[in-house]
Amino acid sequence: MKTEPANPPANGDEYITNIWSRSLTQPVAIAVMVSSIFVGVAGLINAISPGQPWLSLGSVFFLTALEAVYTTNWLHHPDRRTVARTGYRAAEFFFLLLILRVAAWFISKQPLPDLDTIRLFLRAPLLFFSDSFFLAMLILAFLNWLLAIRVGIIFAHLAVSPGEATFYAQPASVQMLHADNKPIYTGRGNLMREFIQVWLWGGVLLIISVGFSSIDLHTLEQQFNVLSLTHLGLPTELLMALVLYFLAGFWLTSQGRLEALNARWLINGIHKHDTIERHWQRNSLFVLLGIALIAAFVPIGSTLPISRFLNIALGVLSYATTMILYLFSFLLGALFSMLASRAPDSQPPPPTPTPLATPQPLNDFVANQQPPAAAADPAAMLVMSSIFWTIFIAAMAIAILFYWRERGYRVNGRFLHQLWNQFMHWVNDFWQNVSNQVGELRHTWQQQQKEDPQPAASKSSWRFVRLNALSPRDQIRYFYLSIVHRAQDSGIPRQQSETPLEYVNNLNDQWPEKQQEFEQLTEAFLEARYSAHPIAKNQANGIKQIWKRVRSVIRNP
Amino acid sequence: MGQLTGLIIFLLIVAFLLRIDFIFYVVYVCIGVYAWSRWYTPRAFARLTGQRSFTDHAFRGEEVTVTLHIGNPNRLTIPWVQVNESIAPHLRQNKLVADVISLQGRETAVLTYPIKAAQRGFYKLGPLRLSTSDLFGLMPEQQAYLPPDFITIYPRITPLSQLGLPSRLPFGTVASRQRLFEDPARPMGVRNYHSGDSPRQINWKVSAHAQQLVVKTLEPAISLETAVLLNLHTDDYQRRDRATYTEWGIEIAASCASHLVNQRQPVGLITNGIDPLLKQTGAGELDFDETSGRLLRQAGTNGNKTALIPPMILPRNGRAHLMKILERLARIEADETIPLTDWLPTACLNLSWGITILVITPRGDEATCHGLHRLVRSGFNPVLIAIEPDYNFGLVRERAQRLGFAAYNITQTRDMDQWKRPLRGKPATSL
Repeated sequence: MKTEPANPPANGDEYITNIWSRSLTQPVAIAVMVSSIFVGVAGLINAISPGQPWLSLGSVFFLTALEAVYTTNWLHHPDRRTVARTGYRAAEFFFLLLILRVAAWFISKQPLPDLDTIRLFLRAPLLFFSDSFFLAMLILAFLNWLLAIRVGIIFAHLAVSPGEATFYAQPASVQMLHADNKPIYTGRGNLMREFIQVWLWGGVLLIISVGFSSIDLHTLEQQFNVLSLTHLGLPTELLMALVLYFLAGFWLTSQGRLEALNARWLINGIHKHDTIERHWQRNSLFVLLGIALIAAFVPIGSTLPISRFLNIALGVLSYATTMILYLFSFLLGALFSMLASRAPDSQPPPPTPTPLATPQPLNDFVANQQPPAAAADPAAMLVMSSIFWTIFIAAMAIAILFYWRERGYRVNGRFLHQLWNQFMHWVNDFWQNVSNQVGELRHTWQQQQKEDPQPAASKSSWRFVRLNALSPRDQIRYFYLSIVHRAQDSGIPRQQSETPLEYVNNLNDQWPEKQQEFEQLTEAFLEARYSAHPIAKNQANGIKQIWKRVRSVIRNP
Repeated sequence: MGQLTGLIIFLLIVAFLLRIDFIFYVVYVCIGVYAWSRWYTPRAFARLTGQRSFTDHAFRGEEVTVTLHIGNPNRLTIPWVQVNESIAPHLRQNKLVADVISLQGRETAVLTYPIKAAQRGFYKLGPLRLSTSDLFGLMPEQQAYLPPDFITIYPRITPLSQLGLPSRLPFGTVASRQRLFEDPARPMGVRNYHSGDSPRQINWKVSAHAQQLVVKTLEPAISLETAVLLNLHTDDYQRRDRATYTEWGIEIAASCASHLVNQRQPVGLITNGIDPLLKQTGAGELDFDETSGRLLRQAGTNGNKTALIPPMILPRNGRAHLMKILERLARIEADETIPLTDWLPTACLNLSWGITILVITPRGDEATCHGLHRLVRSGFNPVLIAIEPDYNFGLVRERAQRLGFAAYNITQTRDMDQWKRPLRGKPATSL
């Protein structure tokens, strides 16, 4: 027993759907319901064109539907009235498109595109999308997304809005005073009917898809009698989709009913007790699970006597229909034969039947596409592909930025500015180093020009190089290359494909006692050859001593 | 819901045609939900119990708490029950009783609401309308009603200390100043003997002790058996706000009756108003005013209004008898029944000799005074109480004095102050 005073509501909060239902259970149930339909359709496609992981798309459909419902709820909030709905939905779809493309690679277990493939995509952008599995997944996900939005909108409108709760919680006299602020009437009965329609027709589509995916469709080409078709087992995914679809649909029907009643109670000024919401959720769950549990123990279909009777009845009906059709076609044939007897005997020979093209699996469709006979202008193709990718990347970037910006995730301009400064600093340093090196090289070259006015091409050997005239970097290079030259004369040539580090192993093998010197010399050469920083004079002198020691050894083996 | 039925049929067809046994499971779930909604909801709702408890009689101005008990004897929960209680506008406070509750198995919900007894009358509480439906909207909404109950609001009673009414009946319980009515059973004391005192009054024991003759003094006492005669014939009321003065008359009648019963005097009630409950057999036939919620005269009795005049309540004493009078006064309504002058001779036929008749009527015109004079001559002790304002009431008072009865003009609560004065040391000459 409980005692509760019959007081009118102080505010309308108790009529607003609780946070758990609004933010968790309802979106999940809608996503489960909607994605179950498309799992059924994917199952049908799998039966028609096996070979691709169609049944693995359930998670993609579920997440897509969940995102759609959450976005719908987010957009329905009064604070987001100023957000452009169409633009935001377009941005959301572009965002999903990108994610779905990546998901398609993972689900179909294709390798991620390598550099050659990316270059191919850059030249021919349509190849980026022309994957049959991705296209089919995209179409299904798009329909799934649209349906989830529709159901999400229905439930967003069914729920009592904060404005309604605030207005109708006031006394009638205050409501009369603020009649201009009266919320627009929402026909929740029509919304419930719309949801039931969506649910029932979705159920019909699901049942048809599941039904046809359970039969061997190849036997359908040979005979049309559905009673004698070969049956395949139902995949677990489809069984789950079937059960979850109807349970989620019933549960959402119950939730919608509660939303509609909440609105009615609020508008009529009926005080709602706190226990209603809790008992409602609990009861609907218990009733559904209880009935689902009991139904699991009831004899299934063909074991029922009534099923046999109905089968017999259907057989008789089918037989009678076939007989009537046969009789009708016989009569028609007889009539045409009578008419044909008056026609001239010279009949043209029947045309040779053209063999039907064997249907190709969807996934091979794109692969078998032949290149066009006339090759397009490469320059024009390059321009077109550049334009396409520029527009695509810009649109994608704008869409993603718009999608996240409206949700409150703004780009940190300060951070970007800091990154930009770092980048510019790095570019300046790099440019300074390059300028130094160029200046150094130019200086060296000018020195050489002054000392040896003959053209460089006429130089036959390094023998006439004056070491002190070279820069420390060039001195080190000279020491190393002279050693390589001498080693070659001693029978240790450096192959074209060998790197200095590989070549030093050969030298070490030949003159193990000078292993350290060879390595120091190689290391100094690599630094002089590839580094950007200037080389000190002392370092070149040190290498010169090493060079002398090594030269003597190579000279006197 | 035809659409769900259509889906079930479609599922069965697909299941049989394509021989998919698992679809039967879905069919069972759909049928289960449908059957549960169609079967359980009306069954559980039909077993719902309701009870209304409250004090069915109240004095004007009191606040009464009404308690509604709504019980669910089923084992399972009824997810929602909408409760709407209909309350008469005269009883309604600023809150409506419109709630929606959830009842778990074997649970009884208790709802309370207050009503204000603002106006005398016989009122209806309820009916209580209960409505429910299933969780999925598959079942049309079910309605049930808890029959109404009734509450009687007594008229306002103004406490009086003394009315000052004369009486002709000796040996009562009310002290009097008239020596004529000295009661030998009420000895008051002794005094010295004076010449002319009856020797039977000498208190011999005290005289012997005091060595001089003393006589007993006795307290005079009267019996004030009273009948309140209330004129509610609407044509006799000439003021525009007639309803106000009829209510005022009823209030005076209730106050006088209450005072007299408190003084342990027998009181009766005679009225030419109508009692709407008099000829009605069942609660279902009662007709209540939509504006006030008060019981109205039964429809179809316009031609024979005298049939609705309640019978006289003969003078009796005791609280139970007072409640009977007040209950009659709570329901009584003014109407065009019989004029006072025509009704007066027959109304007092069953009264015993010497009884005081408090005639509460709007005015003390000549015809009324002559009617009362006839009562005087018949041995009654009438007292005129005129309740409509009359600026020449002095003439009426003089006429009444000449004709042998007292007359008062009580038009508002302030006029009753003369009856509210506390009793002084000496006993009053009358009640």
